[in-house]
Amino acid sequence: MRSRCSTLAVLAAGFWAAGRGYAESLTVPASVTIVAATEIEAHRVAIEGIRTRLAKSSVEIRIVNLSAFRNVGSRADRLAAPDTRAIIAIGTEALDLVSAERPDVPVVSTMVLRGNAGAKPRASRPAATIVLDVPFPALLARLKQAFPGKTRLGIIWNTSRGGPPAAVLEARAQQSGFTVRIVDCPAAEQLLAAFLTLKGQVDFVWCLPDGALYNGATIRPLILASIENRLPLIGFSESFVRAGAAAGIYPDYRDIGLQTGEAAQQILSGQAVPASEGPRKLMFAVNQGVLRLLGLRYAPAATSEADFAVLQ
Amino acid sequence: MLSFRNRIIQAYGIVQLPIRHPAELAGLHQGTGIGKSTVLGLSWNKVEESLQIARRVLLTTFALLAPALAQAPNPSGPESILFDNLPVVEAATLHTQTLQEAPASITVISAEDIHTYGFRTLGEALASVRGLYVTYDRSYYFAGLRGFSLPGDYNTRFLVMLNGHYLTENIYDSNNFFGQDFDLDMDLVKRIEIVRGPSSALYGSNGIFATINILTKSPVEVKHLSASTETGSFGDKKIIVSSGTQLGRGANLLVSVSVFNNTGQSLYFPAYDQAQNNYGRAIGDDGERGYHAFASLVWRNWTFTGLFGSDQKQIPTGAYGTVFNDPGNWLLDARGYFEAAYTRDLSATRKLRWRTYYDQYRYRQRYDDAIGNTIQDDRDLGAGDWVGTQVGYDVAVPHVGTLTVGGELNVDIRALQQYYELSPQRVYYLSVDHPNVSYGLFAQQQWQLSPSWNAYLGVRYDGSKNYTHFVSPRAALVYRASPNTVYKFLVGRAFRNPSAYEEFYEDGVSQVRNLSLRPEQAGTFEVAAEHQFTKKVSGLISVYHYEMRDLIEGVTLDSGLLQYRNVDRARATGVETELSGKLFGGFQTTASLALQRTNEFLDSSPNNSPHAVAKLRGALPLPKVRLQAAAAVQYLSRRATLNGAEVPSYWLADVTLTTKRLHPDFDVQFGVRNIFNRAYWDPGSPGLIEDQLLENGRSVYLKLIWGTKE
Repeated sequence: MRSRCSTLAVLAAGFWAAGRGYAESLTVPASVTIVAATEIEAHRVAIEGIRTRLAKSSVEIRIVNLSAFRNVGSRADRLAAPDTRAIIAIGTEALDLVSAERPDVPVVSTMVLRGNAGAKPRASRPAATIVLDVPFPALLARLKQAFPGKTRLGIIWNTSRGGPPAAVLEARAQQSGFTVRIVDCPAAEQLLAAFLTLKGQVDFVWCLPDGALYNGATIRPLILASIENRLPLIGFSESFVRAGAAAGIYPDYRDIGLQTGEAAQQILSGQAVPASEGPRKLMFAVNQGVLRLLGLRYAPAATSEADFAVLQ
Repeated sequence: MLSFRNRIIQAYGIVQLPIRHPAELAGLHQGTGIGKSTVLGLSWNKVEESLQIARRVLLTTFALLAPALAQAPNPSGPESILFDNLPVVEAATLHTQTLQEAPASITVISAEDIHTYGFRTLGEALASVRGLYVTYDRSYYFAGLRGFSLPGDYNTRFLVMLNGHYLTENIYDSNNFFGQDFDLDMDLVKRIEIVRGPSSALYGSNGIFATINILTKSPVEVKHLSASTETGSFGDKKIIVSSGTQLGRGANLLVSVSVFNNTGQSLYFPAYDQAQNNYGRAIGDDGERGYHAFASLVWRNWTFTGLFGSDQKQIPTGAYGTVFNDPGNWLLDARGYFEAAYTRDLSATRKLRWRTYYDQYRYRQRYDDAIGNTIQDDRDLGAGDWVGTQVGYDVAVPHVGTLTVGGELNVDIRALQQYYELSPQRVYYLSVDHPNVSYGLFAQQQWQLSPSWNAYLGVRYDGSKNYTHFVSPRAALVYRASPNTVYKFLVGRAFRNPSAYEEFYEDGVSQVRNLSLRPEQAGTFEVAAEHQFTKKVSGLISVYHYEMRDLIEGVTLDSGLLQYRNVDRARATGVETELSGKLFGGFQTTASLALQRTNEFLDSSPNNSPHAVAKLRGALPLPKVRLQAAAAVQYLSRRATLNGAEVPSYWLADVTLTTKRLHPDFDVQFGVRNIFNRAYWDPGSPGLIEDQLLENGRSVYLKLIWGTKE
């Protein structure tokens, strides 16, 4: 009897221990893998935002650097860690990699351009996408605030890369009191000519981010033409504004990180997430020197916004 | 009585430059070969000494740089354009001519460097640069490079430009001066580009050793109103007021004015240590005062620039036998110009530049000479006025590269030289005026031979009314071995035309003219390698060789009169290295070493030519205390003097502290020069009794900087 009791006690202890181990295994923190080019400052800023957002939950964050992957042949082992509950792919290259290696894990694609996010056929579609494209109404609102009275906007657009129809843009502009003139520019060689067709017809020319049109070689003549013809450019990055655009509007990358972290958290908790979101917070910067060369002044009211920057 | 320039030449000719027979010259040439026990012509002791310096400098720098050796960024993806660093297209570039793309060894001093290290004169800025050194003879600051800086040669073998405008004056060929007598305040400088090697293929005369282009800030980069005041040791006082104003319709105006008044030091000159000379003490004889005025109006493609400055300096050295300890000995240089420039990018591949200008130069000097019991007041005067125009056109030739063609014309209105006695009676000994007309045509083609190889071939033809014509070719081959490594092979020929003074000065009592003077010429060869170790750390090494001939120097004729002749030849060989980086916590540093051997065939021991020049500087931001700390050290090995002696080698250390936004509108800078109060000497110039001049000891200054927010 005593030996039976002791056997039962041992078994009970064994089951208890096994059960506890199983329960512990169930509470192992979920792991999120971030794939990014960490040498890019904007990616690092976004990662900081993601970390901040996920710090509140007990999620383990692993960061995989793309450049290390480029140099090493095999990479599936890192991405294939069994406890990975979600992958955040920062940038198009990361998205391509993750889609190829781990189609089974939910992916949050972030810091991509809308036209490129679905450009390439992939094994799976991201559960959520945070794009960098600046919403057109937001641009109009900031221009109106900084330069009241300047209501004619030109847009240089590579229409082969997709986007909303011109009529849609015109209608939205009209709602905000603007007129819009769109010039198609399919290649970098035609950039200057496309720009000059807008001379005398618009107050600003908005340049949309497009690596096929804008680079270190094409930007110089464009900026010089802008100053010579007194036709201000609206750039797509702080660097573009520093280079010589009169003003620029671009996403706040830290806030993009926060936004991405939120989407990842919702996926982990099983909530529904929007398939695609644009940036919530934008930065608006002006180049003081170029404005002076162009004979422009920004409205003092614009400086009251926290995200308004004056670059010298 | 001799003019100041004549005095220089006479002293130089008598002491250094007797006429040599051509055969003798040839013999000297043969005798100056490099022996087995030498490296680059240096003795082993000197080599060892130099290598020790190099070892210290490089070890220190590598130790500092080691943590920063990391991979450079490699952004990718279609959206990477958002994160790319696009090149800044400076507003000022629209209106100024930058040399940064020249296929040569280039150093750039930025406005940030000038502010951080507290460079208050052009000379201080240049003295921080690899291989450059500055000499002060208590009248002028003048620069040397690659071991070549003859005492009394006031920058005639450099070409100095302000926004691409030549500062060479039309009488003595000097290129402005590098102390307060440089007519632009350093607060207005956006960038100084130092391009080593010959530049005659593009710019004509004077660019033998280097071309120094000073770019000013654009009116749009200057605050609406800013002012600074300086005070320091030796009675230094200066105030600068600048304003950038938006005139409307895109027109912007920059106006800046400064005045300075330095009481100077009481100096001791051992050679005058006699009772009648106040025991060698010159008291109240070292003062300097003057003004600088600069204005720039930018409107669309046009830039209008005006520069005027004047500097009057007392001469404490009793030069050329003038009365010692007499505050009446002084010299005055005034330089100015007005220019209209037009620049236009005609298309993405074609660019036009045009400028027209009026320039003037005034030089006056007073010598008090003791004639018996009376003081004779003698005066020297130089007055130059000239006008000119330049045009340049860049066009990208399809499948080849950029072709640059252009031309220029300069017409002297006046090149007047006078020497006269003012009192007790007015007597003119000299009054000559030989205005020149000169012109030049040039072309340079760049060939993109392959993605890795670029070739540059340039040639310029110069002609003039007073001087012979000259053809200056230049070729460069640039090989980009990897994204981080570039090799440059440069060969060229440069020249310097004789000055009006060297050719036409004839007073009948001291100097005769020489109408058959030929241009000086220099053939050069240079190989340079530049490597970007990481995004933040880069280094370079350069090896060069110069062969100069027909050097113009004054010689004493049998009659006892001076005459300038093409008599001398010289050779310079050397190696330069530099390592620079931005490191932890924003700390940035640059270290350089230049080893060289310069050899004048008429003078086996060339004057003022150091074998080693080393520089080390670093700056560290201290954001917690809103301070920027900077320190610089420079070393010069010993140099020969005119009398055959040597001034010892020296180390100098400077420290500068600058507040960073102490107040949104206000900052303070405090600097200590020669912080360890080291005694050091520069070789004396011709005409001075002192063969070695003791230079300044420790000095401090305080600068208050105020500016409006916009």
